[in-house]
Amino acid sequence: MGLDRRAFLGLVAGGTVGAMFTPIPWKLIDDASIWTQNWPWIPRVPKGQVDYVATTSKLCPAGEGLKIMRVAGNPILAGGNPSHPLSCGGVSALARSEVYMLYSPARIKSPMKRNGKTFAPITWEQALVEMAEKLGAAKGAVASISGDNTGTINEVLTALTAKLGSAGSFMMPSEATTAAKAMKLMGAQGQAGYDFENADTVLVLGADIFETWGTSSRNRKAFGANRPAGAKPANSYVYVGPTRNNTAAVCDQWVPAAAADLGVVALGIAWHLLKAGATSNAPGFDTFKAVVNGGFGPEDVKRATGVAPETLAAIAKALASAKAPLVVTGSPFGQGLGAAPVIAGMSLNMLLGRINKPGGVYMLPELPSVVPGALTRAAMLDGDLPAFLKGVESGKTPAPKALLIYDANPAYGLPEAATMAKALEKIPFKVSFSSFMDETAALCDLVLPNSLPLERYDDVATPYGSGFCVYSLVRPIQKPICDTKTTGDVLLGLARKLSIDLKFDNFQQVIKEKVASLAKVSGGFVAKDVMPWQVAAGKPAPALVGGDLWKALEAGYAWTMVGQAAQTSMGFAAEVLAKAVKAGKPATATVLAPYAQLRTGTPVTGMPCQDLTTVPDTELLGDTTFIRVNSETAKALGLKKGQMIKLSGAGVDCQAKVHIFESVMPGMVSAPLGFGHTAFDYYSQGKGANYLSLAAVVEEAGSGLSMWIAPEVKIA
Amino acid sequence: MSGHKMEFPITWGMVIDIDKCTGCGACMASCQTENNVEPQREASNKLRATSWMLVYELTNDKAFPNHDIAYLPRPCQQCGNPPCVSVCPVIATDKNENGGIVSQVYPRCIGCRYCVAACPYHVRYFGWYDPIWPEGMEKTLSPMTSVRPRGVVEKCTFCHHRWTQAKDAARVAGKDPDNLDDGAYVTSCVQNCPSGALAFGDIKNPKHKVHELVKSPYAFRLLERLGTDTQVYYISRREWVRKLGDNYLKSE
Amino acid sequence: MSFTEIEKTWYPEGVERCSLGKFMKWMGVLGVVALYGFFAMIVCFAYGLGVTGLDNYFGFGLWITFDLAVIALGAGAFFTGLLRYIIRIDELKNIINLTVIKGFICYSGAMLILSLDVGQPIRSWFGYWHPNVHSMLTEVIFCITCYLMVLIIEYVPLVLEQKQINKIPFLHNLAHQMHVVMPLFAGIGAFLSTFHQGSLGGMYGVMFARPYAFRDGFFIWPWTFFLFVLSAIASGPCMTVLICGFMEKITGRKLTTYRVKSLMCKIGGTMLLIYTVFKYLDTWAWINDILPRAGLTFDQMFYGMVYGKWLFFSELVLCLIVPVICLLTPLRKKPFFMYTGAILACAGVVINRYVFTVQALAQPVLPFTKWEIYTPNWAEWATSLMVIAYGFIIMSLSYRYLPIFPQEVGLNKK
Ligand SMILES: Nc1nc2c(c(=O)[nH]1)N[C@H]1C(S)=C(S)[C@@H](COP(=O)(O)OP(=O)(O)OC[C@H]3O[C@@H](n4cnc5c(=O)[nH]c(N)nc54)[C@H](O)[C@@H]3O)O[C@H]1N2
Ligand SMILES: Nc1nc2c(c(=O)[nH]1)N[C@H]1C(S)=C(S)[C@@H](COP(=O)(O)OP(=O)(O)OC[C@H]3O[C@@H](n4cnc5c(=O)[nH]c(N)nc54)[C@H](O)[C@@H]3O)O[C@H]1N2
Ligand code: SF4
Ligand code: SF4
Ligand code: SF4
Ligand code: SF4
Ligand code: SF4
Ligand SMILES: [Mo]
Repeated sequence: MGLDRRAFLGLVAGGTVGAMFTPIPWKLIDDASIWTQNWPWIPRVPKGQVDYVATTSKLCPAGEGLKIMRVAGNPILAGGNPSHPLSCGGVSALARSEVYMLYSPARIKSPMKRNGKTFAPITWEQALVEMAEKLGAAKGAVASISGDNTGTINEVLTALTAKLGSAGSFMMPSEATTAAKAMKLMGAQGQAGYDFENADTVLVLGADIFETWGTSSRNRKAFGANRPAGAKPANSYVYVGPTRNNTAAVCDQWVPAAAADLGVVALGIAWHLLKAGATSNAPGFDTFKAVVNGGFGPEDVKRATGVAPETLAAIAKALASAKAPLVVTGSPFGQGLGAAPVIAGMSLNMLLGRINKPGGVYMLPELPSVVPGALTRAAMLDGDLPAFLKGVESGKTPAPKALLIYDANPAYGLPEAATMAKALEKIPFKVSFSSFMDETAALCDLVLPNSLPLERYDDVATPYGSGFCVYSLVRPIQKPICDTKTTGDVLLGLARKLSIDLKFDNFQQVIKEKVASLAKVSGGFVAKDVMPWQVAAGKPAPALVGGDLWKALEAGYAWTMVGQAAQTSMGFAAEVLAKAVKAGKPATATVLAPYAQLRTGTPVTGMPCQDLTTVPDTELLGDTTFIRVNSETAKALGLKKGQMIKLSGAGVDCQAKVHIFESVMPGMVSAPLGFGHTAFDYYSQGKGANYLSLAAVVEEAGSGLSMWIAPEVKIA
Repeated sequence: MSGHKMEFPITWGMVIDIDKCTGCGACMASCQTENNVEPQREASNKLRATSWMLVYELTNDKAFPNHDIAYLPRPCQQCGNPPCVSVCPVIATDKNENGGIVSQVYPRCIGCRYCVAACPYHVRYFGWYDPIWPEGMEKTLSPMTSVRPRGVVEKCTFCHHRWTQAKDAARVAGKDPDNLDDGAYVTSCVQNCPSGALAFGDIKNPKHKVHELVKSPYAFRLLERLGTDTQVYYISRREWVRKLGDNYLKSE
Repeated sequence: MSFTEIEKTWYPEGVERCSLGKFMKWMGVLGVVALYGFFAMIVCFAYGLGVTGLDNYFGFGLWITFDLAVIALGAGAFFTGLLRYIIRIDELKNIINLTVIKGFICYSGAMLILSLDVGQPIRSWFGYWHPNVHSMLTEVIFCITCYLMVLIIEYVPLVLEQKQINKIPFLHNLAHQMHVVMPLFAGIGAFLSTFHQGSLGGMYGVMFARPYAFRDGFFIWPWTFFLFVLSAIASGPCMTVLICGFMEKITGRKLTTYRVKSLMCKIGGTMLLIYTVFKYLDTWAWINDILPRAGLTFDQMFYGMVYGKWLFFSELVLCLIVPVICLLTPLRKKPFFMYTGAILACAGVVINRYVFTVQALAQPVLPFTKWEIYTPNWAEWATSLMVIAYGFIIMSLSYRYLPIFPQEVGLNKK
């Protein structure tokens, strides 16, 4: 049978028209919307049972309690835990990253051993053997560095280091190390804790309390709680520092003063308080008075710092007339401050009678330690890592034969990077327990990846700045995604291999014991219906039902205690002040005023990948970071908006673009920290410069502490 | 003024206390992960980066030491008279539902970007490339929001899925889903802001805090004189901040 | 017969054309440009619009400017059609074919660019399926696609009149029948085209939160609706004349009389004058009413060089007043002034479409944002050039093989 042309065309036409009356073409065409939404390369969202579990952020130094949303058992989102006292529902950009950092491209996927310039994966057993051998040989000269200020892991690490023959157990320098040094010099017991919740007038000397300093999320909740939107605030905050940083942006007043002058400003305020009759029984008061009256009158302070006499007088008056004034001192960039400014700030609290008072400073006792032979936190904070490494570099201190590095990235996160790198080079055997391929891990001989906080047991005990003792649990809510282990377990395994008895077999036991010991501390309670600041303000503390503590902690509640270490001889340390605080001439050189933000991560985390979006283009544009100067400084230095410049200091050069920002003091170059990684992944690597590397370390007169609060830089 | 104002018995609104915002960016990070926005490698190109929530830095333009700054977080303003809705040729975005949330229906959007042009708040983001998560990270995607392919426009939805969840929870608890308790439905950014700078609720519901807040003498809205009638309110005790919310002639 | 000779039998009756070799070289050059653009188009489809210079500030850029300009300049087709078939200005028959081809090129080119410009081209038909009747863009989608069909219907008989094709009786008759009904299509075309020219203007005018572009108006139509129609019908005829002049220059042959071109320019000039009056009134109202209402001033609408006031004055003085004088006074008799006037009129419309597309988006409405700069990149340029090359190719083929200039034979008698 033939099909002529007409019939063929007819068939085609008829068929087409006919098909139009069936749903097929319409269905197909309509499905286009679904295909175009569901290309195979577009990830599908997971499905399954949704539940919420609680833990605590360990990546974020602010120690927020977290509520983790899970789908089919996998963590999906980290939100603030409203019933946790350090979160109250809030969460920093960094703590929010806990979940997706599980899949950070920078994660170290298995133990690795250096092989020339590269690394080769090894098994955990091989790693343990290797480490046991090398550490056995290094006995007597093993040092350790921890970047974890709050974990019981430090007990395991320091006990092991001690048993191996310690060449020093160090904490990465931070606000906590500086404050501990100051408290020691003042003869104080305990860790300074600041009761923002009950304070009504707060003088902030330098500390970036609403961004990086201490328990920043909790600080902000405390600040906001007494400031109902659109109404007259029930508290007042004054910020003193070189830039109007994130903290100053919401304070009622910003008093520009160089970070190097914070002590001078404090003593200048003390002058007013003393003049108004403030007095104290604390040791050293008379010397203190003489020091203050001898060189910190309003005109001295004005000459040295530029702060107007009436500004100072007004602050002093506000503090003296407040019901619950509080002075908090810290570094605008979270490190490098000398002990003296902290002492000077604390002196104000003493003159105002604010020690161990609601809304004042609580000298918080250390929680009981459980690992025999471990260093106390105070002892650990007493070490001076930059000084130690500088000594190693110059040959003054013998280089340790082995170095254990836990949760720390000294190759990136220390000042005077060039010196520190040389010092690290001199240490023949280095082990990093980092979770991410950071700058330090890249230098080490063994890299033994720690499981991330969502994959391990860990804890957070009273982060620096907290106004109360607090303990919360970090617990595994997800099996390790890569071939990683909890470092605590690795260290205990190593101890066993070396026949060292650390009392525990695994790290979970350590934590359990720690919790059991807390149950015995009198005055401790689980913060649920009653929060610690309410107890400080007079509400009775609920009783602790001992057996339930672990369960309560697992449920995301925190153990807290409002308490104070007994003080025997807390004094003014006036001799230190006399040597270290000088109302001299203002600096003429260009001074670096770094600032840090949680959204750029910590030296340990690198830039959390989702947070890159939150960094404004006045901080990072393409691969270049900006420094900030005000127009007066720009003019004096001949700098133009957007100009590319080179900053030099401590033998290091850094590139930067110029951003004109008026809220920087004249003569200051404000620079963001957290950039310029050479390691990690494409979210961190090569993004801008690490301006911390420009900071030269100097020794503080009177205390001997390493400091780098006001580094000079050259601009070309 | 074109367009027309739409009224609903429930009007979800956000009140942002600028005087409390420290500019930390936690709200932005919260939003990104809540709503499956991929981590962007080139995020420092702000003209291309997707950030449903964006924190602007405001300045009073004075020199040191009289300079002042403020941070202004900007979600979708959920305009009562949305400039973006009437322009969409395919009704991929609409304001048709109680609550007044301006919807964005990704499978419907053809990606013409007319709405992007029409929105003066720079709230709308186009998918320039297909979204890519680092390997494995797609396991952390939220099931509450669909992943968008490239070529469509997306924006803040006031975390609409949370409203659905809140209504479901209310039904289960035998409560009225159309009369939720204050706080039963809050968005991710509001919930996680460590400063408590953000408040959320039904502006028309006297039991909700925002109902009073929007009446504050310090409250203002962005570009009010254009008639967009937004559902996001800002509060600042600083006059210069309030003045930056709109354009004013010298004589005003 | 060799191919070269066969090829000659395809020419329209009684005309001369350049050698096939020369023609192929010309086509080769155009082909290379078109292929490069095609490559850019594939890259856009494969990787997404991230490969362009567009961004979240400039969702509209070169492509939309190009489309709008091309559609305005292509408006000669509907307007000339209207005058020729409905108003019956008979003399225009000598140039009507050219305007139809130009219109076809402009609209099909614009459609090509549009399909690139939408993020989800596979869903382009949603405009029909899920139409939002309130959106000016819906109207644009409807009218442009319909009008393109009209242009095809108008173009087809021209193709059928090709000497060899016309020998087939069926096609000959078809062409004839189509010519008979042409006034109907001219009418439909005029209606559709007026509407979408207007809607394109309306698209900007309704953006009430973009004070640079926003305009009040009449009923549902903002003033830009009418202004876009007027500017299109003013520049369209001028563009036709420019194309005709350009073709004469290139081919070295006379294609229409100066009288016809002059008539077209007079029509364009007249429309331009009307447009000028309304554009000035509109600008006055914009400066004194729309902007102050938004709390903005005239000065705030301009910035730096790319968004400078020079654009404003170029558009409103150099490209309106000057061409009106050139085109509506006896100056028109001199080719220099006539062509200058036509060029300026077209340039003015391009500037107008550019500033409405780009400057309107660059102008910071939020007081705490700043002017942003948009720079089209290679992908946008290449694809736009592709469309231009495509236009040249269609026009070259049409000129070589189709009898589009009724006066050509007579004018070139030796
Ligand atoms: N990757 C991936 N893509 C998918 C799918 C998948 O499984 N994975 N599933 C596909 C399927 S089956 C579907 S149905 C689609 C769904 O795709 P979408 O429709 O995009 O789904 P949603 O993101 O849930 O909701 C879209 C918008 O609707 C708004 N909305 C919610 N309720 C209302 C309402 O009552 N009124 C109005 N006006 N707006 C409302 C929300 O705020 C949101 O902006 O996604 C498809 N795409
Ligand atoms: N929480 C929450 N729940 C939702 C939604 C939401 O957004 N959030 N969205 C709702 C919506 S819009 C939808 S459409 C539904 C989707 O819900 P479902 O219809 O459950 O969709 P899927 O889970 O994608 O597909 C179901 C199963 O079909 C299988 N399958 C795939 N192809 C075929 C096939 O050719 N033949 C057979 N027999 N099986 C096949 C898949 O492997 C999968 O196991 O979920 C609804 N439920
Ligand atoms: S994709 Fe959206 S618009 Fe299309 S049919 Fe499905 S629901 Fe309707
Ligand atoms: S999270 Fe809160 S304080 Fe931080 S930027 Fe957002 S609104 Fe401001
Ligand atoms: S803010 Fe923009 S996107 Fe949101 S409703 Fe208003 S115009 Fe639309
Ligand atoms: S981009 Fe999508 S939502 Fe926006 S106007 Fe176009 S189709 Fe509508
Ligand atoms: S309301 Fe939800 S979608 Fe909108 S900005 Fe906040 S977190 Fe993002
Ligand atoms: Mo669905």
